[in-house]
Amino acid sequence: MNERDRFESVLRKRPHPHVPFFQRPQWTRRRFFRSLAAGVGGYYLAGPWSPGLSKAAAAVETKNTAKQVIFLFLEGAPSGVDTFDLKETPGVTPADFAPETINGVRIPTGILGGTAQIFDKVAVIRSGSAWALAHPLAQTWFQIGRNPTSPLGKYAPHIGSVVAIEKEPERRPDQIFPAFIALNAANAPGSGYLPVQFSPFKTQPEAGGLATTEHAAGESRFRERWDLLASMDSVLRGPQSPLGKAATGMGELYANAESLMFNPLVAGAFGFSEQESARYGGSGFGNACLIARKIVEADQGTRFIQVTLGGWDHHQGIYDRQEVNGREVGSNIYAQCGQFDPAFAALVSDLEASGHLDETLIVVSGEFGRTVGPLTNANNGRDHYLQMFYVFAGGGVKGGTVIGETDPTGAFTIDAGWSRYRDVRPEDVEATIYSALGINWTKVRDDDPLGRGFEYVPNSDEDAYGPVDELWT
Amino acid sequence: MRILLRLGVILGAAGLAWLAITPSSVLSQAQAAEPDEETHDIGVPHAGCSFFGAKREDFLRVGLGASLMAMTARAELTTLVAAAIPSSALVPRSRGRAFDKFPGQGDSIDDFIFGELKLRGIPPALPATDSEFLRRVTLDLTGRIPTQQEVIAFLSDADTEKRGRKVSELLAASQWADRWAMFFGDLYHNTIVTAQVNRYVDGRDAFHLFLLESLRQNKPYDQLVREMLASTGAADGRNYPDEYATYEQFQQITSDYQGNPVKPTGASYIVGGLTTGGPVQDTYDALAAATARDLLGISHMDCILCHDGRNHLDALSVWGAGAKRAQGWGLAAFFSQTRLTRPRRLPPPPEGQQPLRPQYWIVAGDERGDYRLNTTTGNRPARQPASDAAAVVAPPAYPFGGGGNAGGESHGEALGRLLTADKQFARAAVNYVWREFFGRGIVEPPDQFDPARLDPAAPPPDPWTIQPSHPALLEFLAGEFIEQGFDLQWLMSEIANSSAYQLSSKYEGVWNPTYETYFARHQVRRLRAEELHDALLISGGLPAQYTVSPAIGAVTFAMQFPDVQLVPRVPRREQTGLLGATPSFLDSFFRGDRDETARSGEGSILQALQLMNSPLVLARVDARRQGTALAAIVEQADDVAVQLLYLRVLSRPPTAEELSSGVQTLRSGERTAKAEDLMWSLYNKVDFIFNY
Repeated sequence: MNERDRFESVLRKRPHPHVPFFQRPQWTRRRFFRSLAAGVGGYYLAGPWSPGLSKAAAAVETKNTAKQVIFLFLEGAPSGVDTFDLKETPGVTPADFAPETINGVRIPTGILGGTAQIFDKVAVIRSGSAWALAHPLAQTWFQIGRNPTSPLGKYAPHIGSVVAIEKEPERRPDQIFPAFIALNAANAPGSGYLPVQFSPFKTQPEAGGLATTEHAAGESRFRERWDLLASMDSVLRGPQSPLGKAATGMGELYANAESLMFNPLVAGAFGFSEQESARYGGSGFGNACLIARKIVEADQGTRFIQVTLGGWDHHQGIYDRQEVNGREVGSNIYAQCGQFDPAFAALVSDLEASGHLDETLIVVSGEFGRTVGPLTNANNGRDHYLQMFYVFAGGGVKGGTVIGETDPTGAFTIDAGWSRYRDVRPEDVEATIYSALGINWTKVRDDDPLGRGFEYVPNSDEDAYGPVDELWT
Repeated sequence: MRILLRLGVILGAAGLAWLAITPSSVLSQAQAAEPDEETHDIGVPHAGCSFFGAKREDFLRVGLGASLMAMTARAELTTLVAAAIPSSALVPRSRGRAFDKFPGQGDSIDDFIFGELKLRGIPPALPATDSEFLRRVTLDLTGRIPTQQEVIAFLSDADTEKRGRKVSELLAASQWADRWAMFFGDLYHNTIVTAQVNRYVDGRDAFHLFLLESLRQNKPYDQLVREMLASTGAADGRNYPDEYATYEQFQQITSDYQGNPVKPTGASYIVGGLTTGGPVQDTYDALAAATARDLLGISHMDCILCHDGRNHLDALSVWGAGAKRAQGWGLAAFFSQTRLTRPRRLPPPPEGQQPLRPQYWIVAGDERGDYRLNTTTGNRPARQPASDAAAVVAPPAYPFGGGGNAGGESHGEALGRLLTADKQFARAAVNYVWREFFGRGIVEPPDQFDPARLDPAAPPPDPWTIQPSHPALLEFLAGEFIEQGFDLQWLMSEIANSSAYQLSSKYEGVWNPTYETYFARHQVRRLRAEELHDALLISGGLPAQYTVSPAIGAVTFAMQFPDVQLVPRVPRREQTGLLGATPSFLDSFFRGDRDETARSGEGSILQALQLMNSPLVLARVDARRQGTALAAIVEQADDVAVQLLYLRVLSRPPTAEELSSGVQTLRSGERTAKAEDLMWSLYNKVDFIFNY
């Protein structure tokens, strides 16, 4: 039995028939493409947990080449055929994309010029496929690494929260940053059923630093207040609080919070100069990438950083370039890449320069892909589509790698390019992240509220998903 | 009061002494001990007054108390925008007839709780003081802290029935409906966008208004649920034609909120079941799972809708282990005549305009709908008849006791009728509500009821135990709730007036964690995100104006928000101000998203950073800022200023010790700055952050 048949059989046995018709021979995929307008959605995984299964993990070998992950989440779903799986279609692809061949790969340098410069450090998976085509569903799916509709999907933590709880034992006493920081990601899912300690520390980049660690009245004033509070509240928040357990922790909570304040480490990691910002493109996304880099360099216990960049949902006017004062604006591929490209390029090269790239896995993905070929007739845009790409850099991943190949239009995979001989799913990306960090992706926690056993990657007892090891070779 | 303290010491030393004393006698002693003959001079500390001391209630009654009362009457100390509490208090309800009792049990919450404590030899905590009670009950019933005036009025009221009167007053207040609309919004997952569906602003608001209006009328809870399950029509309650003649007509109808307003409806509860990526049965199943979880407290129904419970739920639920998938189908089939639609086709927009998308759902009935056993794909395992000969359709059948559509009713009406007649519905409701007051359910967690482990007369097989901590109390409360016509205010009045609820959160003896189950003391809880925000406004001044949506308009208090996601939306130009600081403040207190992430009362570093540094706090401890309460307070004499700060922020007067050290603080440097520091410290004190 080959890998692909095995995958299908696992999914059949689960017993949910996960594999949709379009996943079978290629022609049906095209039929699926045509039927998109009818609103056909994805098919989903939700394996019920077999009884008696040990709540443990299979023996697997993780890559363990990365210390932390920076996840750049491109919400709205970027077009692959215009970016990392460029298909130059005469009469469709704009001339100012200016494609060039770099390391044997065609790159639209007109919109990804910075990325072209660091492409030798970048690996691309072109045989990606999402499960769902609705934004919120697919976004949540990607961030929790499973079907949100599955029973444990409702309790499932963000991948970053799993990383945070797994890496907590490695935290040094002097490390004071939260393990999971989410920038510009107000809507990111939380820690699910895991303790809120592992939920994303959500913040927005501000030049002045982490807003809530600044005390507007100044440091000396803060110290006076802090001392006064200590003298007034030591009993209630102390270890013998008459109010019991909940109040007992308050002293420690405040001490931890206080350690973040007026702390050069925090100010250094979360603040930035205009010059630094300009290097990352001067956008909110760029500033967040800049902070992500500084957080990594600060080495303060942060193991997962998410930066979200929305606005990729280009149903209309994807090529309608608008420039104002030399800046790309509007809702089109130019404006989006105008934010993404300089930030991504600076992030990779700066981490490289500071020697942190090798230990930092950068993952770039949308929640699904966009339609290929000519633009939609009515709106000159691209609609939702399952075929998608993922980009990796650093963390031990071999640069200049392209995994998987799509047909000449980019509509479907003709060569999966990895050991499982099928499309790379969000769950496989999740497993890849865990493997890179040395986390056993088959681990099953036994502390979930339904007592089903919480698998880090769903159906891992059957080896349904796994890391894309080809990224390392 | 001193007698009480001594009693506590005695009890702590010799817990068994408790057995000789009934709870009611303790309470009557407390009341008997209330009047204190001692008098105090203003600002003179009295040594016996510790933080949790017994005398501070009396402090206000004499000397300073009187002067404070007079002062607040004359001075506009605040720009506080507190909604007026209607003076028409609810008529206290009688306890009704006698009930079928479990042997040896009584007929009130106190009889059950104290009976169990007595049986186990666990001494309860002392009764809460008046100021503890006032803050606690005001927060629990209305989500607000009491205003300074309310604290003074309550503490200086000599009426022995004042606690009961306060409960009635709070239940009749508009804030009560605000707070419980937030609770039911959480329970029913009413949010704008989930991973599956966008309810849109108007659809969410219409559901919120339905809950709010129902609560304002104190609509019987069974009726509320029946209405919700039988809802049809546009989920935002607005009027829409089946088709639009022109694009302009569509624009006009959807943008006219005056002529075509959002109206209360529970239809968005049904919209919340929409499940994509599978057959329509996945949606029916999602609605069945939600109904069982929210209305019956049985979240294991979700598991049953995929497979029989055997080999899956054996370790989790006795009922679940024996439940069959077909039972789940029977419940889901009640939704099989429900259609969720949006208008298919709009006339094209004028040249050059981007087309708008219709932003509403229609919940429609379809009498031909069936729950067909014919699926092989989707989110749940294949649905197939048991054999070739078996029925290909699962008829509606209520899984707890049977019953289907009796004719002359819609499936939604049939489900509402059967479900609200099931005692489990009442049990789940009283348990969810109980948990809000006591910090834990009689069945905990409240959404994991095991129907086979509720009756001590029919115990489950070994090694299972009876699930509720107080099975007889649960039956009693559920039965009474039904008897009282599913009257939520009756239920809350019964709870809030009980001595069990009015126990102190401080424990005199040695606390054993197992006592928690028996409610031997009041369990403290962190204030919810909205409660903290509103407490800042009530105590510190600077009322906010949050524009929420066309239907909700502008509100001042976070407890009035219809949602926890994307509220408040802050205009770009105001993002650096107070309004801009609100969303991250609220989020740091884990208000959840009503979808993937539940509300949580846990603590975090972020919360401490917010309370220490958020503009929401710092602006209110700025005595130079116009409109802050502090600006007026610093005008007062030192001792009065300290008293006012404690009354406003902590809803209690300071102890003598606190008063003298507060006065000293004011005199230890630049006075205004010191007053600011003192107020800041009060905002970061445990007894501000917690409901205790």
